Amino acid sequence: MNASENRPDELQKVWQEDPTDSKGADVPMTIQLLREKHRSLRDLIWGQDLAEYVLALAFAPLTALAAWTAKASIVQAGYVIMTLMLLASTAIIWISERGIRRYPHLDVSALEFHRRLIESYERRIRFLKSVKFWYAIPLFFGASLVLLPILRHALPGPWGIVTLYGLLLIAWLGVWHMNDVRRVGELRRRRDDVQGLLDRMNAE
Amino acid sequence: MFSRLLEAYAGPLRRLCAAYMHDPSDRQDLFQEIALALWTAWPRFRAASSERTWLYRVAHNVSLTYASKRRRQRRSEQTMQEAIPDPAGQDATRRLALLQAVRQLEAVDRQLALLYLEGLSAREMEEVTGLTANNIGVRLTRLRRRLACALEANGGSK
Repeated sequence: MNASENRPDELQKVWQEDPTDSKGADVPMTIQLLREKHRSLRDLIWGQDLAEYVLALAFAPLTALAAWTAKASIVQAGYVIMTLMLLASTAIIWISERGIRRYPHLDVSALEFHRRLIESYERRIRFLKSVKFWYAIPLFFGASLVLLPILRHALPGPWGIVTLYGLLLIAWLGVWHMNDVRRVGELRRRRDDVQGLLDRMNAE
Repeated sequence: MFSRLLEAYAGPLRRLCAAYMHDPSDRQDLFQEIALALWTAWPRFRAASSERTWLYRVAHNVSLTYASKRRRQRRSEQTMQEAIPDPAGQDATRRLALLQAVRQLEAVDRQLALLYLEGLSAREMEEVTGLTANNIGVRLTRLRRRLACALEANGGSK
């Protein structure tokens, strides 16, 4: 056997002869750290979920009460739509987020893991891009029914309607920018990174 | 059971972390991320694959994800080099040269090089990476040559 044929074994030998290798001497400490980290991660996820739902549901009782006490039927309809939308969106977020948050299992091959990672990014992107339709439009429609009589009364002529739809348009553009531009943009960058890695994996 | 697994593979996992991360605190973080992922995935381990390939799958998937996350967080530090003390003796010089050569590899090649250096068989590499045997074979031939050159340039074979 010549020197070059020995080379691979030699590479492995050099690599595995690590003088700093502690042979797992600090494993008990790591296990303790793991328990703490796992617990704090679970608490963090639970806290985030709770905050999300509390925030979404906090306004529903208020809009429901406003619907109950409103005198004009158009305002009442507006509050009812807003209440239903807040409840429905909480349910939609709960269902879809549960699916999206499920990070791909790590114990599959690297190729499969990265394929699943791309799928989860795609799902998240689709979800975020749809928010402006199923969430923002109905909610803002309800808000417009509530605000229209107030603004008509407060501002002369067409200015009430102009102001209302101007405000709603700004709010809708805010939702669009936050989701479609910022969050989706970041997710696309991540997806493209993973796709690049996947392409390099498949190339020989 | 789990602590036995972690104890048995602490050395290879630390070497893997060193190959992915320059900074010692990043290395420690990555080691804990891997350990946490193994801990979380451990109840699902069904011995459909060997313990070793299962562990390397999780470890490499975590490392690739962690490395890309760190890259995004610290783009400005991409060129930052670890302050490495002067290695004492030829063995340390050769090991450091090999480590630096592995670090310079592109992510997919680095993964394969690490699996090879830890002594996994071609079949095990297929299971860990999901790549075809042909793809692995082609890459490994090239990688072995490249790593051997790096080693030779720093002391040659003993």
